[in-house]
Amino acid sequence: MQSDDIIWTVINHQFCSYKVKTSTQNFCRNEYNLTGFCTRQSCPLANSRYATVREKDGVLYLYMKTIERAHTPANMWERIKLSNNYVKALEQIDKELIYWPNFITHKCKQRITKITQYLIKMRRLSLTAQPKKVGIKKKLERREATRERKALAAAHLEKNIEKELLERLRSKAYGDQPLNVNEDVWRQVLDLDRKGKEKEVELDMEDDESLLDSDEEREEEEEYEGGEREYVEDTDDESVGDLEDYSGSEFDEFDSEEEGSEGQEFPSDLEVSGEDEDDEEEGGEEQPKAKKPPTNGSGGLAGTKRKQPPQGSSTKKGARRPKVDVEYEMETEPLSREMLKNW
Amino acid sequence: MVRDKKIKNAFKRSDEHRKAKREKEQAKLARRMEIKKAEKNKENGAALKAERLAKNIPRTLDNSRQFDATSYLTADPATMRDLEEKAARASRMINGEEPEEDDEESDDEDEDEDEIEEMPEAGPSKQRTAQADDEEEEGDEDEEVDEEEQEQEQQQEILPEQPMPPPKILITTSASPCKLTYNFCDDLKNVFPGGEFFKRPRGRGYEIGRVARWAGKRGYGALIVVNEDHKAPNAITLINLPAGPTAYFKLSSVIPSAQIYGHARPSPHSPELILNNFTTLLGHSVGRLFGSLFPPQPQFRGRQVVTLHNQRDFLFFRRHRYMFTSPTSAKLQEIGPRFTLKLRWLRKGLPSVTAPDGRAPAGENDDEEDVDLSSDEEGVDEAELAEREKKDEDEAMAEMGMPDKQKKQPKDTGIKVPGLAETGEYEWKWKPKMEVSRRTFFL
Repeated sequence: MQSDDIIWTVINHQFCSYKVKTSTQNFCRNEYNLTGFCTRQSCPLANSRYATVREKDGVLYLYMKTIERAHTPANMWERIKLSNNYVKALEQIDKELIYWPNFITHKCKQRITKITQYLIKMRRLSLTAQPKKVGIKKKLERREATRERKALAAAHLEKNIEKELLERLRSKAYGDQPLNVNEDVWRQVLDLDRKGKEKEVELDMEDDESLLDSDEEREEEEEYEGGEREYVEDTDDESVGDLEDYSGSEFDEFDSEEEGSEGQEFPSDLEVSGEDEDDEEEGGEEQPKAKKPPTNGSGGLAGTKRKQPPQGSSTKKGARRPKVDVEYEMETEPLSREMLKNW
Repeated sequence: MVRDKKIKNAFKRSDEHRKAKREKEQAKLARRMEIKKAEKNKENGAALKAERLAKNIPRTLDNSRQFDATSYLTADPATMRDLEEKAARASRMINGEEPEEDDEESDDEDEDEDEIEEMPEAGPSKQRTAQADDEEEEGDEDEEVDEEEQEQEQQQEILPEQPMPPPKILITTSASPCKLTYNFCDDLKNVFPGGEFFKRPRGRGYEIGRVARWAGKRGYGALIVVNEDHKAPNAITLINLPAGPTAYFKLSSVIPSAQIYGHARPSPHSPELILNNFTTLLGHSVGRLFGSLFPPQPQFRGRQVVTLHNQRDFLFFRRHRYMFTSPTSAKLQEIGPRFTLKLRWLRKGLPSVTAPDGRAPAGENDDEEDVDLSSDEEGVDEAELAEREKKDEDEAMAEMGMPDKQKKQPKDTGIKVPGLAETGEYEWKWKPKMEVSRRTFFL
């Protein structure tokens, strides 16, 4: 025997598994609930005559429950498919739920409206290109970040770029009168080239001659070169004269260059200067001129080691500036015997 | 003989161990001091040192690299060359040793060209690809793509050419980006001489596929889409137009020029290009993709160089101002943004525009870019969109000085853009399980 009131008192005061209590509201989690709240009028368990509208796969259905089928739970809910047309669906509701309480019919119609609205929105949204969401995998991210760091360290970017540019310069990729090189530097490059060719020619000629003669000549050549070539530790002495032209960071780069140039193919700066002197050209003048920054408007080039602001430059420049030691003498009266006694 | 028995007394044992260890270390130190002394010797010190260095080459990941042999794209170029030679020899044998060597070589060249040119099919610099094929055929020892640059530069220096305009590049973002992304796009606009930035509106009609085809018809050389996630740019989609390949890179370590201490100011000159360390075929195609973004003839007066250096599959992008201080040294001052790219996938063709429910848009015709839908509500929007597009096209036509009638026919510029639903297959795709071996790199 179905008694709604008894069911409601039990559900409301004691326990209902569908009930969700919040500080302000009580919600009902039952799928057939019309409003979603836990109230006397909208509880599907405590009302033997009840109706809902639910949607499945975009199709609206009207579910109805009457007291005549209350004893057969398997067939309790009658499902009626509603028309796709919104207006027709509303009319269907009116027809099926005629003589039912207003609360239920009204709420059913409201549900139909809401459901059709969100179905339209879903369809429209699915047409736009939604960004594909990809999960963040922490391990992969971490691994890639570390590998990137290591790869950066292994890359020696600036060294490689410099090497590439110099190779292009020496291989005449920039043509005969390049726009991106200082005249003096370009002349030096051409001289180096010429000297290289001369040496090659000499070597070829040596090969043709007899061994004895070539040995003697080679010895002479080696001595000759050995005599001129000196390995000096640092360029500090050399560049003292042109201090004003340098910023501190440039100086850093020169030091690093000297160390690095030993392993490189092309001759170091020192050898270049040595050979210049050999050829009795402008000699040392070429070097400082080349080292001066050109007036092409790219003043203030920082060297390779330029990660920190130039604190180093100020200290280095201070060390090199001509210093004058000043002693200050305070002239006082010599202490007399009386003053000493009265100290 | 009695084996060295373990000394049972712990104190004594540890003492002996310590003594032995110290002796070993002292011996090693003495050895190293001798070597150092010998190398300081003026006569043959340098030679000894060189010998020692040549003998002890440290094993690095780059030294002991293993090429991924699963596809020809990422295979070792040396083995590829060997295979080519073997094939050439075999075909020569089969053809009975007739003097057909030219044909064989040309066949191999054609094969190579097919393999290589398939990928970046269309793009503004076709000269480049031809050059590259020649270079590879000669079997260069150098594995750097910049050789081609040199040759090309030399060629162009010799022939008096009119300066070609820089390829137009459309830079845009994903929908609703944040400030960081905008700044990055501004930087990118400065990097490429033909760069133009457009904001991308959300909604239909502005999908990447559509934007790419629109840009292709307008004569852009490439499309760059900067993707944003968590309020920062995280990926770049590089689409070569009109029908070129699509590449998707993961973007990391983005440092704008303002954050670089002592950065130089960029000038509008076209930069030189340095593409370092691209070895495999896949690497070459990526390198050339990147190269096609820049005008083929750099302006040396500007003394700017853009570097894309590949190290262990990470592409490091740098932009410098350089100056030659002597024949043996050049100085660099960094301009512009600094970022790292990692290739995720490379695809032929342009991205397709399909509704997510799989329906292909009707109208493969270039002009009709409307998606045909059944529902009534969208009909109005569609008509509006179509009208707007037609209006835009009319305006564009008017600007270009062509009558409206010719709209339906392909344009005189001969730009052929693939249909909306055509999508290329993946040339190469990165999968996480590829990452496990530390010595395998793909570019």
